[in-house]
Amino acid sequence: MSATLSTGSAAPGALGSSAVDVRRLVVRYGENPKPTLQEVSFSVPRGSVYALLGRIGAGKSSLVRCLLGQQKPTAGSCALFGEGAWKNRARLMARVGVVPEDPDAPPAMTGRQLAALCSRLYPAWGGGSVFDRLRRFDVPADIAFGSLSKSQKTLVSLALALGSSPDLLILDDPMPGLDAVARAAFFDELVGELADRGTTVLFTSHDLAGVEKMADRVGILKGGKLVLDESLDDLKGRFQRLRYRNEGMEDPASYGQELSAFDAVKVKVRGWGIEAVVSNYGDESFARFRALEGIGDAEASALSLEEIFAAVAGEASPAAHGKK
Amino acid sequence: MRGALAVAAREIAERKLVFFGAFVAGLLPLGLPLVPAFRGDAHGARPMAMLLPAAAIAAAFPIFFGATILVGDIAQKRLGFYFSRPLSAASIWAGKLLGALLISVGCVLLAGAPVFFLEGERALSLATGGLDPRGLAALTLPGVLLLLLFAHVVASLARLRSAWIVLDLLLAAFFVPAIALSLRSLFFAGLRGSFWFLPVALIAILLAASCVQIIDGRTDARRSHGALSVTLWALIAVFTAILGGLAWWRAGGG
Repeated sequence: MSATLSTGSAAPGALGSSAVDVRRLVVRYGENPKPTLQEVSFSVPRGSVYALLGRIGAGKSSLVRCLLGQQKPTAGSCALFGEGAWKNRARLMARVGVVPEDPDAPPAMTGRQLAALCSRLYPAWGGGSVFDRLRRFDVPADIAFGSLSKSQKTLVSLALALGSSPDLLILDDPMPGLDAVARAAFFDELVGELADRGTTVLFTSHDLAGVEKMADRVGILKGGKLVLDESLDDLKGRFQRLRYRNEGMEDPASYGQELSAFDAVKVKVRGWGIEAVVSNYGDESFARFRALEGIGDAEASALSLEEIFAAVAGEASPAAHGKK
Repeated sequence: MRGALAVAAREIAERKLVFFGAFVAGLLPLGLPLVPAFRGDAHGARPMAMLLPAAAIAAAFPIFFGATILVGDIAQKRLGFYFSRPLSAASIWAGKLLGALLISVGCVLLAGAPVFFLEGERALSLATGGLDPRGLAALTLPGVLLLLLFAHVVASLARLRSAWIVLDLLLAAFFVPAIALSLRSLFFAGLRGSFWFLPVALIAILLAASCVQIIDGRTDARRSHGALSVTLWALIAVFTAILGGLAWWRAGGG
């Protein structure tokens, strides 16, 4: 994890004890000199909810396809429950539920027919639970999949994914197709599933408010590299917004130098003073900072995941270069 | 096997209306005796005309389903649904092709059934130049399979749109004339009665190439095309070499 920021807390499990293990994964398309994924490594401990974030084109879907054994990595490995995803895909899929970015069930089949097909493919299939969920989602079970709205297709995919009571649920950015009501139903169902069964969840999403409610660990892909991989609590603890007045410096061009004790991801000079985002906040270092000569009205506040994501996945920043 | 049958059953159920269409098409020739030109002509054109829908279906359906059922799913990125299930790649491949084959053969039988039952075996024999039902079945099944696989491979090369198409065209330009020349030599060397091996070899090559395509390519269209091309042309190269060697040997080279 050469280019990854990690606090080390909530450390990933050893190989075999994790639901997901990705090791030095490289994905390259054609003769493109820049790989889509570059030496990406991370683990998802069993029972945890891991959110894989990144801007469009960061390589999230390629990574998910490798995890599902649908795409062969150029180098490195992807393992689910300690078994290689490419070689053991068919067996592993009995334990994995998938909600794809673009719901891809045969368009002529109804939800009922899809459930009947799945019941013939999975060793354990809870057909009743699928129809219960479809009823809760208010999605008709007897209308062809191709005739459903994008929201309904995603909800059918979720109902099917949960039908086999999977040990691992992989959600590849399902939110964009969901309206507000469907999104609430989707999260309610996931939260219920997590509370009832402790299913491991790996999901990619751009709905960061939703991610913040569910995830206990976050990874951020940027330019094909995993630049951050740590627990959400640690992440929110060390990324803080500092606001203060600097009365010790006359030249505004010198503003920010007083932040030398921190890794400042972003510094902005405002009319009332200075606003900075730091990626290594600590109570002690902040107390020392407040005591510096010329620093006035200093206060620290937590950032939302969306703000942290924008700071890390946005323009080049110290956090993206592995500085601590 | 269970997975392949489930996939095949799904393909058939999804296209059940096609069977009805084929049966209706098979009923249409029953009106031919009402056409003055065919009235009373039990020995000539009428039996042939009556089997025309079945013959058309035998040619058109394998081409259509071969070109759409599996390739369409890869090209439109819909194969991921099956690959997200506990189904081996071989089951997905076998199930899809079996479904397409059963639809095609089933439709041929349905389209030919009304005429066969009303006109009897004699009409069939007249229309096909002396073939009995068993002979016709022995010809139809591999014929439909060959057309189906050929359509699948050609559609894959054309629809998956990767740079492999350049290699495909170059190798086709080399191997097709080479095979034709070898067959010509064998024909003139008196081996014309043994040409049954040609469709058998072609079916084996196309089956192997399409199977490797799905097992190795999975949902990745570009990789799928690459796996198909490499397997196809490697096997065709071996086949051409054997054919060329045989032709050289029969021509007295050995």
